[in-house]
Amino acid sequence: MCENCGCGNPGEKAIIRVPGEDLKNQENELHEHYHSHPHSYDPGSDHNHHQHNESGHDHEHEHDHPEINRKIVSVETDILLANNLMAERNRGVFEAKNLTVINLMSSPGSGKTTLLERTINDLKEKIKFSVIEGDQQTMNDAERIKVTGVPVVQINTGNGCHLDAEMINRAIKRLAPVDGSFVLIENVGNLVCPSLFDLGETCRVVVMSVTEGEDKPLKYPNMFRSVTLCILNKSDLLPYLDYDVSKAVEFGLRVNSRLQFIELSAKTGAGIEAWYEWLLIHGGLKPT
Amino acid sequence: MHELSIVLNIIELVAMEAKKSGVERVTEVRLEIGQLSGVEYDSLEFALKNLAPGSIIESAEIIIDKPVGTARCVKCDYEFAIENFIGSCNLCSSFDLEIIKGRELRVKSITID
Repeated sequence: MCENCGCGNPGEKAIIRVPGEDLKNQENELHEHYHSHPHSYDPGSDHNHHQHNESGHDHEHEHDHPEINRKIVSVETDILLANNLMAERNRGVFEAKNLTVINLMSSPGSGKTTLLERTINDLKEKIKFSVIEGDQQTMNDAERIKVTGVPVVQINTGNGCHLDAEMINRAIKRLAPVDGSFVLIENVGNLVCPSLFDLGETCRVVVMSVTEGEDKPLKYPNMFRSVTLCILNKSDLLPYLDYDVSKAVEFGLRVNSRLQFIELSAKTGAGIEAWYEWLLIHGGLKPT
Repeated sequence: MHELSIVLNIIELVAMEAKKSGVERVTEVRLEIGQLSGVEYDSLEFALKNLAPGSIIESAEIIIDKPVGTARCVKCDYEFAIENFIGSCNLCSSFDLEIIKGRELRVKSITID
């Protein structure tokens, strides 16, 4: 919750900064609110509406309030409309600047940051990168990316469990990526919430490590259905585990029959060429 | 717990519609939250209970329609009800399914005095 007004939209309390930046500089941005505050409840009203849920009967009966002119206003609006509109604005910016924007999602600890470090170090002579890091707290991941020498901003969502399009819109302004470059977004480690929020990205990728269960796609179908690529990371550990790759692939395809898979180790580099090729193809730098 | 964001968005949408109609409170909000929308109904109710006080929906009755999931087989066009994304066509066993219903996340209507 914002301390001034009690507003609690996770998108508006996110802190966006570059490594080394003082939090005080963010004072103004922290209180930049775009929405109206709906504190218009009239406590003096004597209209006591039926508590249908508590009494347990259904809602199909006619309400009898002769003294009141009830009016049903059709709304028919997507609840995520504000996010989806902002995502489309982002998409327009990305297209105009010829940016390839990859939204990387996974559970915590699957190796997203290590994958980014290796990818950037191996390809930075060929491709211009910048990175948006998303975490509830700390600058740790941004500090790690900073070592690679590419521009990075960290979004701290506070209690928020996902990045949203408005945060990306603000972050991209700070990042100011050069035309024709790649922007890698590392979403908050969470296989549930980020699946619902369009950021305007070019591609959505999920990273699953072989130290997790093979049935992750079955447990988190919304996520696996929303992505085009699944990276199976930490393949160097396979000899020590009972993990069955073919089972994971089978489960992934049951949820999303068009899902692509790349098995690799971000640590040793085994299998990573397939991921680089995928990146080049999706950035339009290599024909399919 | 993205249901918090969902409820904040609902409150914002309702407030905007109420303002358009020139009213300061609504008595009923009808939502359509599909069974495949990725929203947990219990979490949604919890978020509604916690965020409604002091907002435009404080005294409103919230009615949630929960459309069931319907899939269409991309291969053979067969349409059937599904409970989750894990499944194959009842007719030709293909896993290539298009979800045509059940992902709704909408504010359908508000009732005002």
